[in-house]
Amino acid sequence: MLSRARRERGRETWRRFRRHRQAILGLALIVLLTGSALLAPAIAPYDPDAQTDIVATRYQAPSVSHPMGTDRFGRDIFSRTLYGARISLSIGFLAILIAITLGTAIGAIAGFFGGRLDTALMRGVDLLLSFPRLVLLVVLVALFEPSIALVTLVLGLTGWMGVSRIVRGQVLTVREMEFVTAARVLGFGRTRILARHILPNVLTPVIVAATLGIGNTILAEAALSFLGLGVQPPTASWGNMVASGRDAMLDAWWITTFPGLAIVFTVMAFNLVGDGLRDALDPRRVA
Amino acid sequence: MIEEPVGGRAASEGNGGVLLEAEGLARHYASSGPWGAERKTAAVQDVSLRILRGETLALVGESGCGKSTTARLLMGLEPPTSGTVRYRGRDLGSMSRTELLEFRRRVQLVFQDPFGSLNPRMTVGGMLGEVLSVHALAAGEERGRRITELLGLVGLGPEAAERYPHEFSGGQRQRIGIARALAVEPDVIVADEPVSALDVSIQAQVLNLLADLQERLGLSYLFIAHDLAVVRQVADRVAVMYMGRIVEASDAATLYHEPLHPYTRSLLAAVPRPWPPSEKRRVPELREGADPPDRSTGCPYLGRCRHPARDEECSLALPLLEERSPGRWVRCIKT
Repeated sequence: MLSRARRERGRETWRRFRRHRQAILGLALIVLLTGSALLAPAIAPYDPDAQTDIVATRYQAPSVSHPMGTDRFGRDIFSRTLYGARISLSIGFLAILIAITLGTAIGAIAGFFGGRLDTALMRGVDLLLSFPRLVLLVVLVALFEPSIALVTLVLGLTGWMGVSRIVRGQVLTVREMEFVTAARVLGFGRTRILARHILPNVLTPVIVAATLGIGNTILAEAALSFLGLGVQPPTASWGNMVASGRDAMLDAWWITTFPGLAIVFTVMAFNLVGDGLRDALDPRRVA
Repeated sequence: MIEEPVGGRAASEGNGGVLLEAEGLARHYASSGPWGAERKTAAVQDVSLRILRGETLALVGESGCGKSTTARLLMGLEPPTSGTVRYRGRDLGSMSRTELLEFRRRVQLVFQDPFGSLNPRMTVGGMLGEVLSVHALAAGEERGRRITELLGLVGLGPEAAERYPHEFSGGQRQRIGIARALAVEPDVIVADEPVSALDVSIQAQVLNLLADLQERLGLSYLFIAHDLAVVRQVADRVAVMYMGRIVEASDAATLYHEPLHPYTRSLLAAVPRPWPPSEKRRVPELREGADPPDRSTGCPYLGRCRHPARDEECSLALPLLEERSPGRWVRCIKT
């Protein structure tokens, strides 16, 4: 039952979000990127992995037939960037999904049950946060055979700590509110109180953190792939495309530039939307 | 030291009428200072009271006197440091899970803050429906009917069920809070300053609603308030608290007519009177040169006491809560 009130609140949030120009720009970029990633097979002019006559087609500067040029194997950069978007975006979304699920669960448990469990969990978070994320990623990936699934999982497993801190703090606030006392007095069980009364009231900052986190995750994936620990060639990902053009950067700038720009715009788009959402969802903050 | 529970005569003879009962209730909080030195604060000490079927017992005192802590102890929201709470003779501390659930059905709480006490993410119908489903009180079509009935009971229309708390005024929200408490069909309602957050014009409406519900449903109230003006309309008996202790208790009419404890007198003097117009007198502050009130011996009220007969004797020992005449209790050696 989607009531009038909930729809109204949604509309109000949307109205505030719309006032945020950069956020709208970010949203437009995300729609464009996601759309072209989904439609990559239809849009891409070439097979991203096809190598035909390498000698004749390699290192071609951007032209009408190859809008972003070709790499050293004669592959079309534009097509590879489109296919790379599929990989980068899906890893970003899935990894952040893992991270917020884990972060919300751990943060909620720590904040709700408190005591020694809370102390233990939060010291664990401190410990994990004391490692630079990239070091953690490299170590974890190096232990196994690199694959897309592994990269996604590892990015999710190293990205939840911030969310858990946010959720714990929110839960600590909300659980002292009188409607939670009311739920206790009414004899509701702890699981019900946590799931139905506390969690719905802490989700706003989680949504914001998730949106902001996607950008970071995509960046981390690019870094891993650049180092050769993430998505393995010939599968195109923005990170390994930048890496493959590294040697010819001065002679064939387009090989690194276009996937690099794709990373920049994607990360920026998610950050802008995240900022816009934060302002729109919290009326007390005036942008 | 456990003193006699504050309760009507009828209560102490034959236990049939007693629903909720506190005996020697105390609650201490430990607060640690900046260098780890621990200080114990006694929020509630030696509180004994009885709530009888169908009556309203008012608990009155200034903020910080322990009345809300007493409410939390009575509701089993936190364990007492010592003393017991009994519902129909059963000790709250040793209740089984099922007994506790039954207790939750029978004793309900109404809150002071009409904004914080309703979940902002649930519709009113959702809240009431949840209570009915957890306690398996009504399902299917019956549930919708019952929700409408509950809303009607507190003077709200059925359309309120689809709305969210933020769409209502303070007074309406308080009605929703009352409807939620009524959903489990309780026989005791602890109302912790249920009207003090509301406009004066709305206060009367909510008080009338509570009185009306008491008559129709045979409810008992523990009505907590910080001044005696509000209580006058609703209370059968009044207990006055000061610094965690009950200092006077009596039936309401007698207490208003002839207050005994100097603190009660000052509280009554602070009640504004419509006619003849008089300047509202204040409850006395600490007298100049008087000792701070956290001393361990003597009467805790001594520092603020204006009783003409107060003297050295008052600082020697904590006065006992004594029954001066049937049902009339006071903790003062000079009255």
